[in-house]
Amino acid sequence: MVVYALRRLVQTLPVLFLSSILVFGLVRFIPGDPAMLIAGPDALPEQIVAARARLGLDKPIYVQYAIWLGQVVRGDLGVSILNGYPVFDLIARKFLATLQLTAGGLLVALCISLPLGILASVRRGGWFERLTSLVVALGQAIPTFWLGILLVLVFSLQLKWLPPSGQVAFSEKPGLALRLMILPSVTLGFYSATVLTRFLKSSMLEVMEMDYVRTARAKGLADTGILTRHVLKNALIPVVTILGLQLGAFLGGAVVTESIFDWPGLGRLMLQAIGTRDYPVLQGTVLFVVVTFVCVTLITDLTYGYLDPRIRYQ
Amino acid sequence: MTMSSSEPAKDRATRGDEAVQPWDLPEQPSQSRLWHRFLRHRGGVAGLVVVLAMFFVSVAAPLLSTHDPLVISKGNQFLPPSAAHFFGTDEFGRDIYTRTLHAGRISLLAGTVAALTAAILGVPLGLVSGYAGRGLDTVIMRCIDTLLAFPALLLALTIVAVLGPGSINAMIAVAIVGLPGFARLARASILVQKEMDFVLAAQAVGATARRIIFRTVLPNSLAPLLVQLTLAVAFAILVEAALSFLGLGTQPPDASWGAMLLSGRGHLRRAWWYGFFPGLFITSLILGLNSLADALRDVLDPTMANQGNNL
Repeated sequence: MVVYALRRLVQTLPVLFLSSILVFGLVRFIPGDPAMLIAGPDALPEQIVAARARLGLDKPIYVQYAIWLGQVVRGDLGVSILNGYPVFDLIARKFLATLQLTAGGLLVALCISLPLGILASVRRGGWFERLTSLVVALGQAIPTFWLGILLVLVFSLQLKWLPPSGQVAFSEKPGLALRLMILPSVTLGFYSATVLTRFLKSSMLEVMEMDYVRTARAKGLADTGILTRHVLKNALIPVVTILGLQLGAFLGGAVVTESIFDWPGLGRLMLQAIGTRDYPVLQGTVLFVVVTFVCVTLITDLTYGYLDPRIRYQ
Repeated sequence: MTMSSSEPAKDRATRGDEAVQPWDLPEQPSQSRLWHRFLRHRGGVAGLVVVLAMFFVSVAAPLLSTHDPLVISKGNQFLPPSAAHFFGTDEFGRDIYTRTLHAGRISLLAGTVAALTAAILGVPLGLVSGYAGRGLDTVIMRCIDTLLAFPALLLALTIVAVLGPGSINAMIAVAIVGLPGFARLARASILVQKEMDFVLAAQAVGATARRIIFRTVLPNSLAPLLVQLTLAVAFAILVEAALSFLGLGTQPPDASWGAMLLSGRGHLRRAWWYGFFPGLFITSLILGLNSLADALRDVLDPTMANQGNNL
């Protein structure tokens, strides 16, 4: 296990390194001179040169990258051009909101996929399986932003059950905070719910064919016992991997969901940064999300290797 | 994505170590037999009909529209659906039915071009990487892994932020995001074939690497690539629509489904139809493309692993 963990860790390092170059390079490609932005519209040429020197833009590009990377690993992501706040603090503040939304989406995804996936594999060939296939097909086709709009139309504007948008802290108004979370969580989690359902169902069916399940049945074990102790336990192992990948989808989908529901998270921060050309914030946010995603993938792989020792030797 | 690459390996491991011999392979079905098998696939036929219908209404949009998509008509704002305006009107009094049809042209064009670009760049990259092996393979695959380290929409968003908003730039971004899928699929395919007798035979008679890659291996990989292309078009349409919904794709006054939903979202209280019909079109088209891809997979290669679209 230790060897496997070290090998995966070593594989991750070049990806992290290349991602940092990509994030640094992409933002450098943006037309326009940051020094001119900082110095202001009516700055003298000397002031622009001074600003450029202060930002380190007069140095060769690889030196700039090395300096930037050095700052990044110490947790210094620069300051916002717009309001001068440290980018790290901005991200830290918004990340909690995104994390809360992600947790909600994950809960929705699991609450839908576990019962649907298990029941559809047990009741094969019936109307329930057909209904599940329909839900799965719809879930994979419906764009997140349209699902969000439909939910608002039906549950906020028509039925008036839930507020259409916004976010409040749980510590202030727990009831309202919970009600505000429902629609965004469903919007974010529905796609992943259908991916997980589909995967869990095929994983369950695969395990049901295994010899040890036949043996358990031949021994005369009760169906529910076989299902929970032998089938489900083994079928859930590969689902862990998919769950990890879905977290990446959450981080991307959060941009859309947050913009529909005015949710003050990382996605909104990124969109604002793009709109106001606040490049240090954009750079910092993208880097933060990518590093988070890479770490989640690594943890997922390690968990998978831990749960299923066969993976370690492939 | 990690899954799709590890799945074939797992399959090979669990299926046992009997090598597939040429005489074990089923005879290649002829085109007409494939077509008959496809026609028996109900989901696939339904998907094909939806996709063709969408392409038709988009291409024939100028003939089918009842109004001008861009002309502003004062006094006609926010009219509900009626015989004069099938899908109602928007905040400028423009006909939403007409605009939805015209938007389909941009979405379909953007999706198809982006997916094809991703295939044209990604497939050779994956084939060369898999055939060369060793150092070159490691370098190319690490770069592909890096692209995959970004959540798809986030990468597209960042690229558009760099290039500037607009349909063309959105297309470029979507193509880059779709590229790793093709590269990985092509690489997996050549890794399997590299050990097979017909490739070894081609090597033995002195065929060049280029000839083996593009004349021997590529034709044998077309089935999975066609399925991937269908899924990639769906994926590209979704990402383009998402970018437009975030205000970074197609710019006003041009209509695209994502951009229409963005403006519709701001007027949901007054006009439900504004946020409804463009979304219905996207969803139907994606549903059609996904069922078509499922059917192609079943018909062309029944042994292929069951993998989904990634967004």
